[in-house]
Amino acid sequence: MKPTELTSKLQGIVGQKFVSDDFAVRWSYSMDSNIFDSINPTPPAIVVRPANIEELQKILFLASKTTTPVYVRGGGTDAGGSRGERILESILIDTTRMNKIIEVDEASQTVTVEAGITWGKLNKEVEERGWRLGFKGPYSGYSSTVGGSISVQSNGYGSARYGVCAEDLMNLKVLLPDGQILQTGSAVNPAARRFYRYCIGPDLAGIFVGSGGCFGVIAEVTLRMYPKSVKAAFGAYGFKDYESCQACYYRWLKTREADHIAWFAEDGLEVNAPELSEDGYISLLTFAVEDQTPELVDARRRLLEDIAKEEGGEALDSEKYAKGDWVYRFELLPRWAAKIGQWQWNCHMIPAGDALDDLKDILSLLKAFKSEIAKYGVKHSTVSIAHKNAGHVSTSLYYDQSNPEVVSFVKELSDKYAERAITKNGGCNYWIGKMWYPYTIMRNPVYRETLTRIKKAIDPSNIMNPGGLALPTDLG
Amino acid sequence: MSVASKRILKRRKGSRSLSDYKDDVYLCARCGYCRDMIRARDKTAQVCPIRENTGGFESYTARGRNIIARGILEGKVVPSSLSTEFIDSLYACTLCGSCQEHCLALDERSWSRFPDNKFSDHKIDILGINEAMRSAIVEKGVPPGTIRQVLRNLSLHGNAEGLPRSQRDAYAEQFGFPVKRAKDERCKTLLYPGSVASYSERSQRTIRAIAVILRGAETDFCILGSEEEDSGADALRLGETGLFEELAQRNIQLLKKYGIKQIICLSPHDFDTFQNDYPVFLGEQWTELKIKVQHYAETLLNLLRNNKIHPERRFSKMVTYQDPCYLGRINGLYNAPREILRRVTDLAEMKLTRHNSFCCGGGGGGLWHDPLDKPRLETERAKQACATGAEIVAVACPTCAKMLETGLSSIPQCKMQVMDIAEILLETMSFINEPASL
Ligand SMILES: Cc1cc2nc3c(=O)[nH]c(=O)nc-3n(C[C@H](O)[C@H](O)[C@H](O)COP(=O)(O)OP(=O)(O)OC[C@H]3O[C@@H](n4cnc5c(N)ncnc54)[C@H](O)[C@@H]3O)c2cc1C
Ligand code: SF4
Ligand code: SF4
Repeated sequence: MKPTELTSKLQGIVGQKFVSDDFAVRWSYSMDSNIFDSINPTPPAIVVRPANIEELQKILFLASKTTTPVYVRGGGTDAGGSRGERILESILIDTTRMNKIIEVDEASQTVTVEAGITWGKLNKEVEERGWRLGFKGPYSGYSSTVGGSISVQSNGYGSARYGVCAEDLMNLKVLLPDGQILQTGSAVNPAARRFYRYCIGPDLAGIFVGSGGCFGVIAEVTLRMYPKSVKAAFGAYGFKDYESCQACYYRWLKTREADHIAWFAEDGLEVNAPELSEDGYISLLTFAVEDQTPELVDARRRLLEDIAKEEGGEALDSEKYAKGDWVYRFELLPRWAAKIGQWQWNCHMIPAGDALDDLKDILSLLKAFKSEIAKYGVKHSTVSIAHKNAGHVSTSLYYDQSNPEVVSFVKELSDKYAERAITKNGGCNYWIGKMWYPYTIMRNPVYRETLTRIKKAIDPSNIMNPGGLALPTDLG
Repeated sequence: MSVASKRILKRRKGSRSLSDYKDDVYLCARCGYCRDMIRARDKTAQVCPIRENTGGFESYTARGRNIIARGILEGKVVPSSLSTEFIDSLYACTLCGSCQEHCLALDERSWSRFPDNKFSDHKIDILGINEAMRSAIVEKGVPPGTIRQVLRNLSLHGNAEGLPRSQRDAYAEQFGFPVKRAKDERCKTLLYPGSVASYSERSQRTIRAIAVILRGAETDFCILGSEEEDSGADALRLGETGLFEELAQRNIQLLKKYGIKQIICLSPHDFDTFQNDYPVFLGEQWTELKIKVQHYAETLLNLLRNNKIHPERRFSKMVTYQDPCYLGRINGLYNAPREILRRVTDLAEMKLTRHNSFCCGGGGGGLWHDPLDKPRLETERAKQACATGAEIVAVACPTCAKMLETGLSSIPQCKMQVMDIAEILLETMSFINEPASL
C-alpha cells in the first residue's frame, strides 16, 4: 500500500490530527537519545499516536494486512540503539497518549497502567493513593515510559532492593503483530485479578521483557505496589582505597536493606565532586532508605552505617552527597550532561563481588586512552548503581556531539568498552541495542536461533522492528 | 554583568541565524523533559501546553525542533522543503518558555541554586532556536498568512492589527484628567501602554487605572500618545529581525528626543524587549541612554511599599492570578503582582502557577495565529482559573486579559471576570471615582 493510502487509513482509525507523514514531523522522530541515532538518524514513514488499545489494535491489523513494518516508541530515551533496519518504511507508533492509570487494585496490591505512562506520572499517582512503587523508574523517569522500560529492561531508582523494572511486573497485555491481544499471568483467567505473574503456564511476559518492540506492542502493564513510605534516610561515605569501598559495597548489597546504592569512582568524583578528590578520596558510596515506619528506616540506616564504619568509610555530608540523588530523582543525569554535551553509556551488570575488578579494568581502559580523551575534550564519570546481588557499572562519556571526529572517537571507545566489559570481565548488558549485540546475541548461535524461532512464530511477516535484536531482516 | 544576565542576553544576541544557536542545539541530549514532566515535588503537571492540545507530535516540542534544527545545520533537512504543516506548528508555539524552564541543562555555576534556578540558568536557548527558525521562514517569505499580515501591519501602521495611528491614544480620553504628552511638556517617566493595550477596549480600563494611581501618588509621568511606536517585541518573536531593528531605532530616537529616563510598561512583552533585547541589539546606543525599564506591577508595589498610595478597603471578591509568561517565568517577577493582590484581597492560586504556569495562548503570535490543530489554550486556562472557585482572574498583561476574556466567554457556566491588578487596586482606593479632583 502506498504511504498516502496508509496515512488516510490511519487517519480513519485515530483521527486526522494524530497521524502525520510530513517530512519535518517524521524527522523529529529520527533520533532517540543514543550515539547510533546521532550518527545515523532514521525518520519513519508515518507517525501515529493512538489514544487507546482499540486504536492500537486497528493499527496493527492494518500493518499486518499490508505487511508494513512497525516501530513502537515510548519516551524515545533509548540509550542502547534498539532501532532495527527498516525504520524508513515503518509506521512509528508513539505510545505517549496511552498514559492512563487503569486500576489501582488494593486487594491485589497492584497498579495497572497503559504502557505509555511515564514513571514521573505513575509515581505521583500511586503515592497520592497511599502506595509507592518498588522500582521507581530509570534516571530518565520523567519522560521514559513503563512500556519502553520493560522493553529494554531498565534499572534505576529502587533497584538495590527491588531489582529491575520487570521484577515487580505481574501481568502484561500485549498486542501481537497480527492485532490479537495476548494477556499474560493471572489475567489469562478472566475470573482472576491481575495479581500474579508466575501461573497458568510458562511465563510469557518474559518474552516481551527486553524485546525491544520486536515481538509486539505492550499495551497494559500491571506492577506490584508497596505501602507508602513515611521517612527516608541517607548516608554518604568517602573511601581512600578501593578495596575497603568494594567490601562496604558488597556488604551493603548483601543486606538488601538499601533502596538505592551508588558508587562513584575516582573519575566520577573528579567530574561531580572535585572537592572530594582534592581531599584524597577515590570513591564515594551513598545510600538511601525509605520505609513505612520511622523505626524501620532508622534500623536499616543504622545497619548500613555500621557496615560503612567497619569497612573504614568516612562519613560525609549526606545532605549534600546522597539526599539530592534520591529526592531529585530523575533530575541528575540531564544536569551532568549539560556540563559538556551528549552522553554515551555502556551500562552493564556485574556480580556484587566482582564490581571492583570490572571497575578497575574499565578505569585502566580509560587511562589507556587518556591522551585521546584529553584531545577530544571528553569527560568521564564511572558509577555503579546497585541491583540486588549485582552492580550496574557504567561510565558516562560526556562529549561534544557537534564534532564528528569526537563522535567517532567516542563510538570507538564505547565499542572497546562494551567488548571488554562483556567478553573479559563477565559483565552482562541489560539494555538491548546495537551497542551490545556484537558481543552477546550475535556470538551465541543457539540463543540467536531460539530467538529467531520465537520471532518467526509470533511475527511471521516480520513487521515488528525488523532487524531489531540483531535478528535477520529476512526470517527465511 | 552577572553570569545569569549574560546567559539571558545570549538568546538576545543581535542575530537570529540558526548557526548562532549551534551550541544550544548540540547541547540537547534528547532526554525529552521539555515535553513530558510530571513532577510531584513542585507540582509540575505538564510542560508544553501546545503538545497537550494538538496532535502533539515531537515536532511541536522543543526536543523535536532541536532535532530538526540539527538536521538543518547538518544539511540533512533543507529549510525550503519545510511544509506548511511544520511552519504552522512552529508558529503554534507560544514561546511561553515552559520547555526551557523544565530543561535540566543548567549552567553548572548555578547548581548551588538548584532546584530554585532562574530562567537564565537554563543553558539551551530553546526560545532562541525557535525564533531563529522563524527568522529563516520569514526570510523565505513563507510564514503563515496571519503572521505575514501582522508583520505587514506592524511595518505600515506600528501595530499588529493595522489600526490607525491617530487612535493609538484614544484611551487617554477615558482618564478624566489631562495627561502630559512628552511632545508638549518635559518629563522623565513614560507610561508606555504598547500596541496591544492601546487599541484594546478592555485594556483601556487598565491604562486608566494605572494613570489614576500614578497621578494619585503624585508621580510625574507622561505618554507619547499617537507618537508612540511599537516596541518591536512581536516582530522579533515572529522572526522579523529587520523590522524589529527599524522599530527599535524609531523608539530610541523618540526616547532620546524627549529625555525619557524611565519607562513603565504595561505589557510584559514590551518590558521584556526593552529590558533584554534592546541592550544586545542596540548596544551602547541603548545603554548610554540609561533608561530604567519597569513593569507597572513593580511600580505600583513600590508606591504601596513607600506609602505613596493607601488602599482603604478590601477588595471583596476572591481572586486568582494568571502569571504572564514574560513577566513570571522569563523575567522572574512572580511576587510583585501577588504582593499587591494580597495587600487588598484573598488570593486562590491555580494548580499550575508560577514557573509551572500555563500560558494564556497569546504569546509568540498566538494572539493572531490560528494554527491548524486549534489548541484553545485560552479556554483551557480559563477552565483552570474557574476551578479555583474565585470570582475574578487577575492579570498583569493586556494579552492575557484579551485571551482569558475569550476563554471565559466559551464557558458560560463560569461567571468569572477578568480584571487587571491595577483595576483591583484602584477599587480599594477612594479617588476611584474622583479623578478630576485629584
Ligand atoms: C537521561 C537518561 C537517563 C537514563 N537512565 C537510565 C537508567 O537509569 N536506567 C536504564 O535502564 N536506562 C536509562 N536510560 C535509558 C532509557 O531511558 C531507559 O532505558 C528507558 O526505560 C526507555 O524508555 P522509553 O519509554 O524512553 O523507551 P523508548 O526509547 O521509546 O523505547 C525503547 C525500546 O522499547 C521499545 N518500546 C517502547 N515502548 C514499547 C511498547 N509499549 N511495547 C513494546 N516495545 C516498546 C522501543 O521499540 C525501543 O526498542 C536513560 C536515558 C536517558 C536519556
Ligand atoms: S531541550 Fe533540554 S529537556 Fe529538551 S530534550 Fe533537550 S536537553 Fe532534554
Ligand atoms: S515555548 Fe511553550 S508552547 Fe513553545 S514548545 Fe516550549 S512549552 Fe511548548
